[in-house]
Amino acid sequence: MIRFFLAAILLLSLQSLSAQDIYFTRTGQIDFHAGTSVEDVDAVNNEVTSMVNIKTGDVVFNVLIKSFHFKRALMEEHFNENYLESSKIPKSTFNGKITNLSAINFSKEGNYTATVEGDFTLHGVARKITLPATVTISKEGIRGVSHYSIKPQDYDIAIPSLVADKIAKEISITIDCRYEPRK
Amino acid sequence: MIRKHKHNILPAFILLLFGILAIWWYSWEKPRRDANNESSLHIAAVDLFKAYSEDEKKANSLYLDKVIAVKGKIAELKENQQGQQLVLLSTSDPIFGVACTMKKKNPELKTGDTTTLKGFCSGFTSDVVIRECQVSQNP
Repeated sequence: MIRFFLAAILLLSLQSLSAQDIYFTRTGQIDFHAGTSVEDVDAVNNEVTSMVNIKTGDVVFNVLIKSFHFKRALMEEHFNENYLESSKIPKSTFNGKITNLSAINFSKEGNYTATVEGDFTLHGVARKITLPATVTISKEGIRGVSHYSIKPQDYDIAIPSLVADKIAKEISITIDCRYEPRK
Repeated sequence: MIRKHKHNILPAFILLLFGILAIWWYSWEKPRRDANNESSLHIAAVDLFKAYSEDEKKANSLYLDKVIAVKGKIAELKENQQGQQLVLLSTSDPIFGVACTMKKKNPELKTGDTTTLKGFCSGFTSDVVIRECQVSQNP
């Protein structure tokens, strides 16, 4: 009987340990600036789901294209219908790993520089990318911020020549996720 | 004769110009879709989540970008980084659910309450995501 209880306690503690390794958010923020001096083209998505496993370094992002919010409804419509074709391809994903995991002490508060390598899929096109990130450990949890830029043509996103001067050649993206331990 | 002709064409020209301007202005300042002005599909949070977790592609063909009135029990309330209210409706899954970002804050919503929220379906992350939600007036 005692053995059974010990085994049960051991199993439970193992389970809670593994659960504490996973940090999660469903309100991650990604915004991008695609405008030029001619016009502002900015959008923000606050419905990004992301998970980080601090034991293995695995990082996952799930981003829904239709959740990008523009100031102008017309821009949002063009973005969804003409450029990202979000009815056909509603989701963008990233699956990667922190490559310098040993440089981050998740149990000590502070700022750390992380490198995250993985597969990024946007508009149905998958590419290997490396994200430089700042990881902040605090009482609230883990915050990860990354700045990255992409070229639309790398992801088969066609910009008509008519609006080419209004849309940046490189789109700058900011990822800001505040993770909490997954219960 | 010529004078009279001129008089006829000028107002028409101005009218046409205004027409073009109005169309341009309307399309540029196009009003945002409002979930309240569109007919909605009524579904329970449990069923919507089940549909997405079993066959995401099929569920997208049924629900993506449609106005959904989703009824469920509030599992969690929180705020995103823009200060918007997020309401998580519980499903059969212990962690994931139907995540609804509200257009306006609704302080009357409490964890454990059953509510019907109406918004646009963005798709499936590991939650079903509904954006620009409002509390449905006819649950």
